[in-house]
Amino acid sequence: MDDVDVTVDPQIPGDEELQRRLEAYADERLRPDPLATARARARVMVEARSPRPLAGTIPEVADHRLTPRSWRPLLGLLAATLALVVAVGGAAAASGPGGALYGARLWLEEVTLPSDPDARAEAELRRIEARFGEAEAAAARGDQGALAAALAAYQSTVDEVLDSAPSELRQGELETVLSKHLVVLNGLLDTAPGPAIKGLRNAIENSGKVIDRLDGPKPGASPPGGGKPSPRPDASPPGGGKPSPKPSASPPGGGKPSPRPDASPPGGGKPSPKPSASPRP
Amino acid sequence: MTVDDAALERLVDQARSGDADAFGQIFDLYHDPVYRYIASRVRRPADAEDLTQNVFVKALEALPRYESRGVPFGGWLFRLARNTVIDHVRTHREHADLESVGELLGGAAAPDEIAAARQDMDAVAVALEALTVEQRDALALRFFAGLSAREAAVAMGKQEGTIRGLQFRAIAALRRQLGIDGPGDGPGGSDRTDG
Repeated sequence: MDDVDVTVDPQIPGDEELQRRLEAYADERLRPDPLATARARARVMVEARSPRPLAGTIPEVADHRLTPRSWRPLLGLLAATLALVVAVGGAAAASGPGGALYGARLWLEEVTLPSDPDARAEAELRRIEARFGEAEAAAARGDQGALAAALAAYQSTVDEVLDSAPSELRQGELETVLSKHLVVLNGLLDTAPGPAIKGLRNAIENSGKVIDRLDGPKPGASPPGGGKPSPRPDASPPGGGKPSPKPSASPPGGGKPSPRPDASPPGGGKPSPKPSASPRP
Repeated sequence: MTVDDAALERLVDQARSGDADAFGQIFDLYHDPVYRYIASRVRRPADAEDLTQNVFVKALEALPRYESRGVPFGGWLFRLARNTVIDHVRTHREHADLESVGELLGGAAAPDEIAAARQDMDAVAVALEALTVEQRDALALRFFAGLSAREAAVAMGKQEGTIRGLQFRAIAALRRQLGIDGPGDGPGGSDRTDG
């Protein structure tokens, strides 16, 4: 408690009414769209997984002036760096989805997976997220070849995880991840170029099947609180028509959907997921 | 420092060390509050979605430079969010005038109850737009994003006392705009003097 809360004081006539109206306003007009949130998260995670300088390793800017004599070795270094950047850039481009080295990269990833089954399943889950991020990035670029390659690799990685007979915990994580991806994949159907639709539908169908399989009867596994909602948040029927268009900011039905099953904050959660009636003092 | 703060600090440290999953958890923690703050400051939900995503990408880039000493992470993150909103408003000339707000609000004919609820929402929106920019900022950070006064102060680059004053005047102005009985406008007189 670092200050006195002055926003809402139930003792002051009128504050409860103001609180109610502001809460209703926040709930109605300021609620994020779960689909957009899932999409944003996937994009941000692609960024987060790309290599970047770590804390404390950002080089300080040199404050001394360069003398003409010091230019020569620097120019050489610059040229060498440039050549390296071009070479690495070329390799990186080729190792992207649909690139010549993409298969090699996937193979390298696979052979360097940990041998411990649980650690392996965890690493595979990260690979699924990475493949999904690549697919999303390809869709955003309108790159059909890359999208197809990334989706194929995505499906193959999902199958690998299933084949490795993951623990129940990892199965739950896989189900959560795939459910989240399913929402985004359905959203991509609205924006992806025509030829990519088939690949997306296949991915949606396959992911739906995997979720159904994971969600099948497990010994002694009854969900708390009774019936479990459909594991597929927005799966389109196999081979069927296009799913419903992107939902508006407030989905029909009133209830606030939970965009991410794993979105509960660790250790109790800092900001409240619902608009807080009285701000944290 | 509460346990939650310690857990958050650990999470931030992990994210600073390049742990993408830790950053994912930070995203999960803060996405909705950041979105609510931004959505309360810009017109279109699509803009709010894009800007919210930008805030997290910027946070990712700036995280190595973040130092927790004395600066709450929430305040730091919302300072990024606020600057992002300011840039957007400046670029897109999103200056609110009540007339255009009125045009944005309302909609097709609807059953009485829905129409009444919509009118209620519209009245709140108009009342919020009538606040000064700083009052709205303070209110959005404290109420919609759920920040503490200290975090809001860091986000706005002001003293905590200033935030309380802005908030007090914002509440008084809202009460008056919405016709809710309250204890007067409090110290500070006019509500349009601090923006």
